[in-house]
Amino acid sequence: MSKILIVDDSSFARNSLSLLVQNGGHEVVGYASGGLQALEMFESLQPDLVALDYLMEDMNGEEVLREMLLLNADVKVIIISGSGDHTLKQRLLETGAKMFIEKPDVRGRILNVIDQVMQA
Amino acid sequence: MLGNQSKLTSEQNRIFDRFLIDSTEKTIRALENVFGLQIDSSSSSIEISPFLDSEILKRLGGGLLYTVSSSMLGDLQGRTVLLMRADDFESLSEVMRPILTMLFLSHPDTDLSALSNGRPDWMTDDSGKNGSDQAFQDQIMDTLAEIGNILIGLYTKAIYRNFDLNSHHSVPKALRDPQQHTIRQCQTSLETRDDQHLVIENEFVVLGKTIKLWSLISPCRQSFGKILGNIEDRQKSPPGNTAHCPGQALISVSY
Repeated sequence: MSKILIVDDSSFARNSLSLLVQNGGHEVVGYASGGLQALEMFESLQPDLVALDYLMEDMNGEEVLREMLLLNADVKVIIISGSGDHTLKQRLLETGAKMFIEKPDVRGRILNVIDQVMQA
Repeated sequence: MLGNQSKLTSEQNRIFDRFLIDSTEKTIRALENVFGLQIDSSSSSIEISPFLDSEILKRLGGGLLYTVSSSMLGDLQGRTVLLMRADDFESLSEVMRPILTMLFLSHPDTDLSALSNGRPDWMTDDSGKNGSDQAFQDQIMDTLAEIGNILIGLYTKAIYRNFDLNSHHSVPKALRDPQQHTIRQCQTSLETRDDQHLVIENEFVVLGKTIKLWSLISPCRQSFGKILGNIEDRQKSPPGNTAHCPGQALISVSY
């Protein structure tokens, strides 16, 4: 079981992802609706893994990822994105994200991806 | 620059047709994946037209709309707007009610003891149909914004696959729009009256409810020129398995 921080500005996305990962036996230790809140919770909750939305109002996922890496270079972040940017996945993986999931694929992939990232 | 829809060539029609089929198929799959719902059937149309001449947009009619707006950035710049009529939004709300109820009840932050005197009004059928419960309205508007986020992302991906233009979008904003301000904003932001738009009408059938969604992709004039230029550049590529619609810019497909 992993302790997971969920970061997404959509409550629908947060809640549905929460249900998926809890059904997979993981613990959701916190929910953040923006980048700044995510960074605060990341420091205080020390999750094993962060499920991080890319497109958010106050900071985008890339900015949040960079800040988290400064706080903990070993952080395990899965980026979840609805963006159509063709270059985004490669850029985020090079920045330090462990995995990248497109939003329509979350339901089918998230538990396998969590297992892969935690076992790596 | 095209002045009106009749000037599209058969090759341009073919590529726009492919774009419609591509984006619609991905949209259906995405909605099924995100909500765990089966979408039984759908019909779709695309029109490349000046805003004021759009036959598809005229079918929206007057009255209350629910909209999701986002800016397009990158190779293709402009604006994307999803538009939904009030009755379609009602249908979406009814389809989403059990899903949102389940998410609400299963969320660890929900104080289930507070429900001992009965469920919130929005969980009952009648209150939601009246649209009177603010909590449910907030939930469904948030869901609409997320649907918009996913669909606009799928459109930008389809634009990349079909027109070789890499773009992304800003955080989408969902809005209840009783006066159709969103449409007026699109009109006033035109550079010229002849600027071309991609207007898409999708009809989905979910749990027996028919839901129509209009999408307006409004590239700036220079970006639309890039689309046509890239179609010309790709004319030697092998054709896809889509039907030709020579001499027409209004294309429809059914699933």
